[in-house]
This record gives sequence, C-alpha cells and structure tokens, in this order.
Amino acid sequence: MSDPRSALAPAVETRGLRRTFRASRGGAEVLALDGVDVRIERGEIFGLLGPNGAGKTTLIKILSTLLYPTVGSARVAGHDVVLEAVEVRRRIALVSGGETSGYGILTVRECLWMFSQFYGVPSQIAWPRVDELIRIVDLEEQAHTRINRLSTGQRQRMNFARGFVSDPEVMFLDEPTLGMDVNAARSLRAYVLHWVREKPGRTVLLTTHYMAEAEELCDRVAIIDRGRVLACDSAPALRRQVQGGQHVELEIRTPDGAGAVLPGLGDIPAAWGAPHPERGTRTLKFRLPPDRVLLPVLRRLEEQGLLVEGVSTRETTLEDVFIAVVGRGLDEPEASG
Amino acid sequence: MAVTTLAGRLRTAAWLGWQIESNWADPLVFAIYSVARPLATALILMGIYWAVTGGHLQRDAFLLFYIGNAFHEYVLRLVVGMGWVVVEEREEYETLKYVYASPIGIFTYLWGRSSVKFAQATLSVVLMFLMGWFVLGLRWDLGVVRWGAFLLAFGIGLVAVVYLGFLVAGLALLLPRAAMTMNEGLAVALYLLCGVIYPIDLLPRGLQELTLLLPFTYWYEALRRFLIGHGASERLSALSDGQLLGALIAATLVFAVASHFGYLALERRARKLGRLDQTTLF
Repeated sequence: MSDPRSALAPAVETRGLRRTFRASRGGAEVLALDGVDVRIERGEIFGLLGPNGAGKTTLIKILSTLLYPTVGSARVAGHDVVLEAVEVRRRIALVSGGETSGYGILTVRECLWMFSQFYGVPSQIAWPRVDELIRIVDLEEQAHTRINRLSTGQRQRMNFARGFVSDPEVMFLDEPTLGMDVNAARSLRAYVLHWVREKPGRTVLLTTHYMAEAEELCDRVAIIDRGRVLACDSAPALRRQVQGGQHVELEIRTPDGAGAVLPGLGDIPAAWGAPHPERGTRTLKFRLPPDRVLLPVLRRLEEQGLLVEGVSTRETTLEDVFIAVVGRGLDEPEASG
Repeated sequence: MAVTTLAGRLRTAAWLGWQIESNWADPLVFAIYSVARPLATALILMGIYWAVTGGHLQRDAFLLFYIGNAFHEYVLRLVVGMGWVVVEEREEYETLKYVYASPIGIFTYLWGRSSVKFAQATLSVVLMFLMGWFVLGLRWDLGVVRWGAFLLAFGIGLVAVVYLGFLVAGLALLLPRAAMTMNEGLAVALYLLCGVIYPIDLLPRGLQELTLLLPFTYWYEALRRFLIGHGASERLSALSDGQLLGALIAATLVFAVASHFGYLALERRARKLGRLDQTTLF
C-alpha cells in the first residue's frame, strides 16, 4: 500500500449504488441494487447475507470492476471502480463459488502460478505461496494434475486458492463455499479468518446465504434483499435487535409433506425451515413476542389442518434476524403479488 | 509500471497461449499438423489457381497471388485468433472475468496471447515460401529484395493486424453470439477487398476508395514490391516507395488509434451491459 490516499481510505465505500438490468423481450426492467450505501473498514470481514437474487453478486461485480453501476458511486481502497479500474484491480481479487472455471490444459500448480504472474508477484514469492495454498486447500496430490481431470469440488478449491495468490488488499468472496463438502468448507472458512487476522489491513467482503458462515466469519453483516440493505451491524448487535420473546420451532406434518404454503399466524411473521421428507414434516420458525402465548398459535395451525409433532425454543440466531428484517426465510421464495 | 512486470505478464500470457495452442494433441501430432497445414494450403492455392486459369499458369501472377495468400495467414491467425480468445475465455474456460479483474490489462493479455498466433503464422509463411521455392518453382531474383523496407512494412502492417484483432475482440465482448462468424467474416472481407488474391484495380471504383482507407491494402502491396520488385496493383504502382510506406504508416496510425478507442468503447458498453462474464454458447 504505497499510495497514502489508498492506505487511509476505507476498503469499500458505496454511495447510493443502484443497478438496473434491461429485461429481455420487452419485460419489465430488473432492479438489482436499489441505493446501496456500504462502508467497509480495513481489516474487516464483512458479510452480505441475502437470498438468491438479492443483489449480492451484482454488488461484487461492480466492486470488482466487471460491471458499471447505473447510478451512484463505489470506491475500493479509495479508488473509483469506474474511473480508476486499473488501480482497483491492483488491489483486489475475486473468488466466485460454485464455479468450475479454469484452463483445463494447465495443472493446478501452473494455473495458480500463472495468475500470480498476472498480478506481478515475483516468482521467488509466488512459487512458495502457490505451494502453501495448494496445501491449504488440500490439493497436494493433485498439484501436477491437469484441471480438466479434477472433480468439481477440487476445481472449486483451486479457484479459492487462485484468489489468494496475489495477496490482495481487498478480497471479494462470492459464495465461496457453495456446493463444497462440509470439511472443505470448514477448512476454507478457517483459512479466511487466519488470512485476515495474519496481516493488518486485509479485508474480505463475503457474500453468502449460509447463516452459520456469516455468523462464524463476519465482523459485520449486512442483510440485503431485493437490492436494498435492510440492516447492517455486527451479528450480536443484530441479534439484540430481535431479542425478547421466544424463538419457536415447530415440526409440522404437512398434507403434502412439503408445506409450500406458509400457514397464517396472524401478525406473527413466520418462515419455513428445511423439510424432513423422511418424516413428512417441515420446521416452521417464528418469534413469539413476550406478551403472547403459544397455545393459540398451535390451535390456529390445527384449524388450518396442520399437525404439530414437536415444539422447541432456542437462542436468537442470524436467521431469526433475517426473518424479522426481511419478513421471510432465506430459502423461502418471495410471495408473489 | 516496471518494465520487468510488464514483460513478465506478456511472457505469461504468451506461455498460456502456447499451452492452449499446442496441448490439444501430443507433440509429434502437433508438429506434423504445424508443418502439414501450410504445405496443404500451398497445394490448395496451386489447385485453385490451376482451376481458375484453366491450367494456364502465369508464373508472375501466381507469385503475386501466392505471396498475398501467404501473408494473409497473419490476418487469419491473429484477427480470428484474438476474437476467439475472448469467446473461449468467457464461454468455455469461464476465466475472462478473472483476467479482467486482475491488473494484467486486456491489451497486454491479448498481445501476449497473440504472440503465439504470430509465431504460428510465421512458421506457416516460412514453410509456404519454402514449398513455393523448392516444390512449386516460385523463384525470383533475391537481389531485388529490399530487406530494410520489407521488414519495416512487415512490422507496420503487423501492428495494423493486431489492432484489428483488438477491435474484433471488442466486438466479441459485446456480441457473443455473432463473435465466431464475425471474426472469420472480417478476415474474408479483407481477403476479397485488400488485394490478397487479385489487384484492387479489379474492384468497383467505390470499393477501391474504401480499400485505400485500410492499411492492409498498402501492406500487401508493399510486401510484394519490396520482396519481388513490383506489386500487384496498377493504381498503387503510381506511388513511390516512400509514398507507399508513408500511406501504410498513416493508414496504420489512424486505424490503430481508431481501433484502440473503438475497443475501449465496446468494452465500456460490454461492462455496462454485464457481458464480461456472460456465458451464452457452451
């Protein structure tokens, strides 16, 4: 960070960022970002939590200079992403999860080295770093294997390593553990934490729709839905916003075993959790306000033909915050109309 | 930016280009293909000329035709190849966005990648000339070769070819579906318009004026003139050597500047529309 302006600036700062996409075949214009204001300080792991289509990837694309905003401004390390794209690119790296991109004819080691050269990392630094990253993503046995012979998961891990070969100031991780097995995802999360804490000033912007991932990694979390940031704070502070009352989870036998239609609970917002097809049930989650009791809610469900098979209460989680802020669960489709 | 960093990036992009170009087959097959392709091209050209002239080969006319075709290999390899780089990186390898988001710079990257295409085209041209000289009897007095002027014209023309490649790459960014046909269509248009296979004098007057705006017209003419002592076009023969080189330099300069800004405008548009990482074909 030789540029003093860059060193003093926040890692990311957006103001009134708005992005629309022209719909194909005469459809309505799609609003992907709607006036996003975000400030991410150096050294933070900042999470963007939102459902598919919330605008997370669009924001990352704008910040990584792949897409222009329609309105508003965005700066990365003090540099404008539109006017100073070259300066931004020197300071960032991008990892998109769930992708199997890569030059099939290169080996893992060659591919990582090649990207380090694109960033101008001297070879005497690049090669040890490449080998270290290969060890971290557990691809030592595949280091000399061509990418087209890797499994999907191995390719994803290689792409994760690719992001770190340049030791960027600001790292954009777009759903980095999407589709990964549990162990791989856990070790990559541990590495992200280690990487940020190892050297002051390293910053990560992480998009995810895994609540646990956001909770485990992020210093602050922004909840984003339909292109708008609805809440932004540390996970404990967000949880405090919705504390009070009881967080209730009901295991409900649904007539079709899926429970696509959310049962009405009056003025209490609720969301479906994961279905349990083997038991023909699904979890219904809601926060019961302090002045209310559970029995009338259970009766109401019974009136709707739903059989409650189990009841449990628990601590506030980010998912509860999400439901309270957004009005639906993360994996739940938006209600039409 | 330090020169060593730039050189390293160019070298890496060239290395990647070589890996991609050469690794589709084992080294022996690749070597055979690299030699056989230009030799086959030479024989096909001979066949075409034989068929068109009804077997009455005019050695001088065939030599002009042969030289034009040999150097057109650079246009084919570089222009089509640079457009194809964008298509391949975005659609097949899905790596274009990572290249873009890195500081290598797309011009450096394409220069590096195209250097392999340049090497391949050079090998083809050399082999075609060897085939022409030793097998087809296309010989001329080497005393008439003006090496300095030839190399100067060759280098300037190559700059124009590379900038045309940038323009094609920009169009490929913006028009992913049309990119593949468009690349080859442009190469064919130049083949027909710029005096590769017949003198531009045979074109309608309006088209002649159009081709005189393009550096490639002067390039083919200059390469022939400085290599065998005369060009193919009667109209261009009115230009002195200095005028021909001047026209080539001026047209290349204008074309390169226009292509550079044309590429940037196309890239801006592609970035606005979100096309840099859009996959549509594979």
